[in-house]
Amino acid sequence: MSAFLPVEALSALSPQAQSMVAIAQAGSPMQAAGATDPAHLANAADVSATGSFGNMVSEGLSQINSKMVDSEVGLQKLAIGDAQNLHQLMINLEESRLSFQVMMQVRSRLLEAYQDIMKMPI
Amino acid sequence: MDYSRSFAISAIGMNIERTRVDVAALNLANANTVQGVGGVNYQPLRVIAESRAASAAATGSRDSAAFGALVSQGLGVQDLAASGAPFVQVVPTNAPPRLVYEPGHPLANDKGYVSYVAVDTATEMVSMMSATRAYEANVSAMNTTRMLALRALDIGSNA
Amino acid sequence: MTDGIEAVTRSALALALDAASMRQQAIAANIANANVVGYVPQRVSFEAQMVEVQRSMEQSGRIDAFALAQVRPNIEPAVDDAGVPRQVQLDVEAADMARNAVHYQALVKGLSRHFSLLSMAASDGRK
Repeated sequence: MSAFLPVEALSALSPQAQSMVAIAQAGSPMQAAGATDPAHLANAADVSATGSFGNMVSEGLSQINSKMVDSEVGLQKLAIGDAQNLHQLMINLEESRLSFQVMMQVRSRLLEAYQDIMKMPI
Repeated sequence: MDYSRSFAISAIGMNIERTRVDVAALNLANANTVQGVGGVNYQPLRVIAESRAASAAATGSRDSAAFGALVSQGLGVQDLAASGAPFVQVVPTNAPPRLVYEPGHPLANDKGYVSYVAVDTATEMVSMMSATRAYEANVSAMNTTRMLALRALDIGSNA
Repeated sequence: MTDGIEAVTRSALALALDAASMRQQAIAANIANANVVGYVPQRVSFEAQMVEVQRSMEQSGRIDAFALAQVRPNIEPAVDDAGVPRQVQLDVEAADMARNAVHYQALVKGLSRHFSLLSMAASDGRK
């Protein structure tokens, strides 16, 4: 998750990054409300961000998504009766839960930052 | 850790030790029987448990008792052939009967000897005790496996 | 939520839980009737029906929902290939019961983690 932490200088969001974020939203099989919000808000909030910030966001999202899909597939294997590695499955579940929580926190901070900026009187 | 496989292995180990105890009990029950004139004597039985690598070189005609078949009947776990579990059979020992000089016995032969079944009581008792300890060891292994699996489920649940 | 990977996982786990509780009943019946003459041991036919589902898992990396819908765990008599009913072996039944208990707890834990993840997403990161 260290890709999220450095905040780049604000500049215009390039069309490439916008399209990448749109692809990440559309292609994600996770229907959870939180998964689509950060990308959307990041899109709206960082109108003046560099292209690489959009990259970072979409990459981070796809990483979290693939972790969660791996956990789900591990659970399916457990249900089928294919439990090769019970502790590995538990570790994956916990890791995906933690990364999801971190992502939600990042989204909340981004929201607050955006709202702070919008409150500033011009 | 595939806990199904571990449980299946312990189950077959326990089965083998119980077979040993059963065979020892049967031998002890027949310990003091006498062979009748011209009759067939009781042959004391013995449990032979070969390790799998050795039995693969032996005849292939005993595949029906092979470990993999036993386990897949018992616990539905396939392909334990690679795990090196033993292969067990119960065979009669062809020991000569024990001759005791009792000239007045109704079943004595013409020299006055009575042929008893060749069961050594002390050996049977010892094998029964060691089989009991091995059974307890298998049970302990199974309990440990279960505890490890349940502890693995506790990963990350202290949050 | 009815269409994604979460629904398939949830129904697979629920089916496996059904099979595990059925298996516990069958094992308890076998142990209780271990010394009864002429008793045919019971067994749950879940893994045998899972062959199709396992194949779809190997092909595509996840379970196919249609293959999963065909699976129905039910209790059946345990006979070997010749149709002869097996003997009840107490050690094997006890080990099977221990394995089933561990499997059941693992399934319950997995299902509760799965749901807690979804509820965390649904409640916006706040409890």
